[in-house]
Amino acid sequence: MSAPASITSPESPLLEVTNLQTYFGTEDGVARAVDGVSFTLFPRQTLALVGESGCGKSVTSMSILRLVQTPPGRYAGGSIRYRGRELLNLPDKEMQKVRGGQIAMIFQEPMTSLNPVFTIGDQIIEAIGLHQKVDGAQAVAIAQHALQRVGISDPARRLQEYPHQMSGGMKQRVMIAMALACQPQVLIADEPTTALDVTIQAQILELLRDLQESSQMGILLITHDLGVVAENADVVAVMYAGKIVEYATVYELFDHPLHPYTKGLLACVPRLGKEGQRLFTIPGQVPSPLQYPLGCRFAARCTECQGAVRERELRENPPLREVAPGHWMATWSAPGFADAKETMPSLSFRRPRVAAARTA
Amino acid sequence: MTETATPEPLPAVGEARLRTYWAVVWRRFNRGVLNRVARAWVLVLIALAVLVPFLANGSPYTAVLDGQHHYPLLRNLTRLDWLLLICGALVLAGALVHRQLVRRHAEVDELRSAQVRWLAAGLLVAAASAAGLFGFYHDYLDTRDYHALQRSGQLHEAVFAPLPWGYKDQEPLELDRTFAYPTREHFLGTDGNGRDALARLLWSSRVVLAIGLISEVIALVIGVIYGSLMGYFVGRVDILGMRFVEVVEAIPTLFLLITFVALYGRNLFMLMVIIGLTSWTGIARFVRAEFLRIRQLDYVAAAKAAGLPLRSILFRHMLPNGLTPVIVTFTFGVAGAVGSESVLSFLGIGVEPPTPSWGSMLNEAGNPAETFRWWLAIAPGLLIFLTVFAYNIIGEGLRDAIDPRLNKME
Repeated sequence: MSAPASITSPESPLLEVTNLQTYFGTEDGVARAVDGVSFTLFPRQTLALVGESGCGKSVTSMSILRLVQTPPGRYAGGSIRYRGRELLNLPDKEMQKVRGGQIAMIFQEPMTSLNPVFTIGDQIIEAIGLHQKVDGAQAVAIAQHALQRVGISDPARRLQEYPHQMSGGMKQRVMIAMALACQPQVLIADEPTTALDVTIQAQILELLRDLQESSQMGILLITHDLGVVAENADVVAVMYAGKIVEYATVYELFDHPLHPYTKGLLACVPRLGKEGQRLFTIPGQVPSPLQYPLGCRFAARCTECQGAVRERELRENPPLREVAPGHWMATWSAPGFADAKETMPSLSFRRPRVAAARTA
Repeated sequence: MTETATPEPLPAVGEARLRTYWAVVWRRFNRGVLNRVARAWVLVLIALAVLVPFLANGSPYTAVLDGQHHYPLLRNLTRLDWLLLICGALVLAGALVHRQLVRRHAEVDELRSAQVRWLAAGLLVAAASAAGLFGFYHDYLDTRDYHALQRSGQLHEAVFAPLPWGYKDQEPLELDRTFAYPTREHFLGTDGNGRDALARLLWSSRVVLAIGLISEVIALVIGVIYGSLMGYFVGRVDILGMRFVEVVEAIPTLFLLITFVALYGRNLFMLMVIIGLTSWTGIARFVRAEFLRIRQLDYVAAAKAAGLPLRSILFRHMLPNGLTPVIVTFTFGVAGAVGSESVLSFLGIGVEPPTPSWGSMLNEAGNPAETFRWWLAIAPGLLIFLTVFAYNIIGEGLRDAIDPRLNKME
């Protein structure tokens, strides 16, 4: 589905994560929460990181900003390059400038992500003052503009309000305004709509899309909601047990899922018009990050592979390989997997925007 | 409940919006009847401590002596009396100004800057008057016994305070009015030195307030700093630090106090410092626990993700949120300090005579070798009970008002 031209486009990526490994030392051993994750994010692109709870999505996003507490956490390997600059060995002072200024993050729980003892204005303006050389009046103006951009009316008044005076959707808008006030290049949205009700979800996601269009930023969208992915993502990375198991454009992934786990996920989604059937569930549980099996981490729940392939699955962990142009996946059972190469997953594909589609 | 019965006029838009966190807590606190009663009782105590020279004093407001008009009560006011009066007046003015400001300003920022201006002005006046008092004003030592003068007919047109006795005015020994039963002249009787019990009861309010507040402020400062450091530096520092807290907790305060009194004599300030130095551990534990909790919260992660420096995260974002339970502990601590002062004074190692305190009055009431003098026991005992009770109710009321689980029920 994806146009080949976009795959080979010479654009320079915003963010390149290569073989990232974030481990946690626990009393029971080392928990390999993120165990070799690679992806590439381009400007004006939305990359969705999908997977069930506990698969390492959030740790990946925290690792990018180096927010994982060390110890017990530890960046065991890999690299995170922002515009070619390695973030993992950046000094703390430099890292502080990157946080908020270059890469911003919005969190899952808007209810608890704002400090209850300060007004909205205090919090936005403090962040602005940190990353931009402006005086007080200018900072207020920027903050007001930021609130206006996220669709909050009467921003001058809203700046004076405390978080408890706002609804959940409003708070998430404020969080987005706060994240965008310093004009970051990358926005990490860690399940930005999970805590909101459905109508507000749609509004927030649309807002993110509009802001992305106007500011050209790349969005790393972390979610477990395939509906959200289908509507918003350009490229999808499916994570399972600390690894990416499939990586493709959104159209390719939804039309031709290759990995049994992806297929399972898609089968779990309820469909309109299909009556009288129980929803499909993937049997079994995600293996504990303390003791991953030797081979494919999905093998124990997999019903697809049989015989010799299954033997191999249990013995040897399949790497992420490009099995078709622009389609990466990791399972021995896929046709042509043995001959495929391990390349850096990188797709600069952007879906046609509604406005663009109209003019075309 | 009255809100449903009598519909109040809708607040102006600005008023409705101006509800800071503490305004919400305060409103919820005031919803409880018992809370309001306890608050009123503490306010009465404070007012009493400030105004007691005008209520119970041996010197008359005004009198004619040797054909001349005198104003002995005013002249006999000490530096401490003046300072308390000035501070009391400033606090009262501050409360009125605050109310007006809240009513007038719709914007939090404006309100805040106005508050800061007024606060600075008030502190300036307080500091200037304190400096002036201690620099230029000297306590006047008045040795005249105005009651004796009046009896001998030398004092004319005397206007006495409502209770014409100070805390150290003694009835002359020849009248034999020591340990006198309550009479019209002495409503609560007299103590062993022929001093009016009611007057001493009222003057005690100063000691009670001072010991509670000052010792707890000392404990608060140490506890907050220590606790926040422990909560922040988790790990080895925390483990060693908390062992030190346990060591301090193991110090028997009462024996320490007795030892110090035995070595250095009685000194109210020393008592406060010792109580403060041994009672910060609870506050430190609370602050540490709060910091351990808060560092996990999303807004701290958000502050980090926004690139804020550590200083701002620790003191701007974490500390104000961690102080909430401390305020509750503080009020409980004040109650505890009042109790310990009473105990010490009862044991005869508290405040130095003739300074009155409820505990020392109790001591005089029930010397085991003598008869039980109920009139000296009931009132101070009741007041100790009420004051400790009131502080505890305030602490509990604040805790309930702050409790987020109750917030949800609104």
